Amino acid sequence: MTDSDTGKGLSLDDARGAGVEASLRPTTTGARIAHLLQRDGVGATVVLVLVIIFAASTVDGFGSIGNIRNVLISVSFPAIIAIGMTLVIVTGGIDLSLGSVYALAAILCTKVLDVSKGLGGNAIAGIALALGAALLIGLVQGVLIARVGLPPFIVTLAGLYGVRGLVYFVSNNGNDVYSAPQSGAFYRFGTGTVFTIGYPVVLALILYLLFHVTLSRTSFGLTAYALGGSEDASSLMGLKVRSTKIRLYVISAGLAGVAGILAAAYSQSGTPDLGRGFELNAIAAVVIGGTLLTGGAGSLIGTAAGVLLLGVVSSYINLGTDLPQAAQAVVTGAFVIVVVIVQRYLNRVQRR
Amino acid sequence: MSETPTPAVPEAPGRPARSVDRSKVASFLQDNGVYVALAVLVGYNALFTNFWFTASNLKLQLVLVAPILIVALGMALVIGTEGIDLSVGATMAISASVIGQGLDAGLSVPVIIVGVLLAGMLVGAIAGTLVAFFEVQPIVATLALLVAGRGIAVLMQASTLSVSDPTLLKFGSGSWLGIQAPFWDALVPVIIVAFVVRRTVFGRRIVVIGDNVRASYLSGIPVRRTLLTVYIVSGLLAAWAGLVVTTFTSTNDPSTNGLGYELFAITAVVVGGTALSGGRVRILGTIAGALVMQVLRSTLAFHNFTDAVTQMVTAVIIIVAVLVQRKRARS
Repeated sequence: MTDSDTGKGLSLDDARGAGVEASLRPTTTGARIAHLLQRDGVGATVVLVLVIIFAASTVDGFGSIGNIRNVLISVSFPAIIAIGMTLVIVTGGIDLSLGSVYALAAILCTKVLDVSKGLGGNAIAGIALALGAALLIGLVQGVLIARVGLPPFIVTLAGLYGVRGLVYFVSNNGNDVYSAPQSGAFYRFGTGTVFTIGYPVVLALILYLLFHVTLSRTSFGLTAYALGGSEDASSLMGLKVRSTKIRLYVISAGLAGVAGILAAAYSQSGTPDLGRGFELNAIAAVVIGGTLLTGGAGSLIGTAAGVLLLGVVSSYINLGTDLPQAAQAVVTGAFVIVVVIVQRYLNRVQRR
Repeated sequence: MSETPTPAVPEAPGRPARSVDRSKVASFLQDNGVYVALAVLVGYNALFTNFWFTASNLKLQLVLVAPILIVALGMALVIGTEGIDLSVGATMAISASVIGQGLDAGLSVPVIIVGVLLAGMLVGAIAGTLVAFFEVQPIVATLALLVAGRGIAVLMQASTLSVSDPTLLKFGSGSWLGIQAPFWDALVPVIIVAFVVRRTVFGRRIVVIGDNVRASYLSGIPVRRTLLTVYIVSGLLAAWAGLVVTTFTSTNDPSTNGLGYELFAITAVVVGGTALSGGRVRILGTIAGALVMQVLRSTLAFHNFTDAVTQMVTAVIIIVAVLVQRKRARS
């Protein structure tokens, strides 16, 4: 991967590592291993494989098809959110509003279906409204960040509050829980399967492939990396800094919307407390996947490994231990801390 | 109260008078906008909200603002160093769990309080060590503690206990000079932190580090030690706030105690005019910021708006606060 295959000027790896010393060509064996572990989520994948082997060999039923299917389904919704989070973090930004946007999409969707039940339940209208609202929120946040120049942390923090408020506003202060009919297109959309794999999992996979290619093989993706490396330099190079940023925030909110719609279709219900803390878990997955919060480096393969790792650990705690689910939060936090410390160590090894 | 002297913006020669005025207005608003907002809110309520401008309600506002204010003080210090502390809400939960465990074990009240404060300092010390010595970004380090800390609190004590120890309850439900205890619980740290920021070398170091870390290292300031201390103080204050909430409500619920407080505190600090880019600690502004959020919530509640509306209005206020700050930066 170091010798990138793009012949033209700016190689992919150069762009990806902009501003990160980790991208320097390694010279010693130790540095080479360190370099490899940080590439494209290799480290997170290695840990993921080890945890799966450990869990499958010590816990009965962990490796069963049924459990694998459960883990994949439960992971697919946060996984889609984590795509958008990765894109935004690559540019050096952050999006704290994603959990709220996820809930809003789910609520809008199910509310439309619930209210129009007598009329046969119009799934298209529900999906369009939910997705439209998500994209609009992304656009407003993107404009405030890229055009007006406000810090992403603050803008999306306001988004976290404001959109959650909207969720409660829409759902009669959280007193209403909406349910979609257990039949029809919307029901099949959430619960259908391809070769016994649920649609949400398939869709998550497709989105990962799509955005992985977008991020690593298109000028839009490379612009995102360049932005995260240095916004000033990107702007001087004539890259479309502002429009790229706005589009990324629209995409990340849109993906959270898709995840919310999917979750609503899967569970056939929308509750106002849905998705609380999802943004934090998404950030944790992104960090575990090796993406730096400083921007300019990272990959969706790492994020996928990070999300899966958190899902596998959660399943292990459920099946293999007597610990309550709260233990999962402790493990997640510990993972994040270990990953960032190991990353720092790996960076040091490479610098030598 | 504790603003650092900002260098006066040199006026460009030959600038048209109108734009100078405008920059003056912007700069006034940036420095005092939060007080203006507070005055407008209180004034509005005094005139148009029935039963709001009464001694008992005003006192109640001062009591209700206490936990957020206590947390926001620590947050202001951390933000002053260009950091952030997302772990404060989880620390409050741990505080609730320690109280529950302490009461269960039959420990005496002073021991429980020392335990609570030590637990908070421990969380802060972990965050501070990660930030100062491992050079982990503050948002990542404290995010990990937010997620893990709440889990630890719930693991320590899964169910809700009602706190009935009369001595312990005095910290939240007692009253002095006609005002309930949380007000006094907040007043003490306010005075101490304000003094530290204004009058001590440590206070100056916080601001200098937030202004320019590299220069601070080069000029021999003990950057790591100062950062570590700041996060420990933030953890300590969060644990104290957890104690205040637990004894005020006389229930300890580790799964909800302090939930979202990191965001309330950041909001209070930002609305109070402290930029997230560090180099400045405004204690008086932070107090006013916390009060604005509290009075706003109460105003909307008095007018029968729901919590949903409050959250949306809060979002708008955050954006307006940073917009005003940005104007200043430009002028």
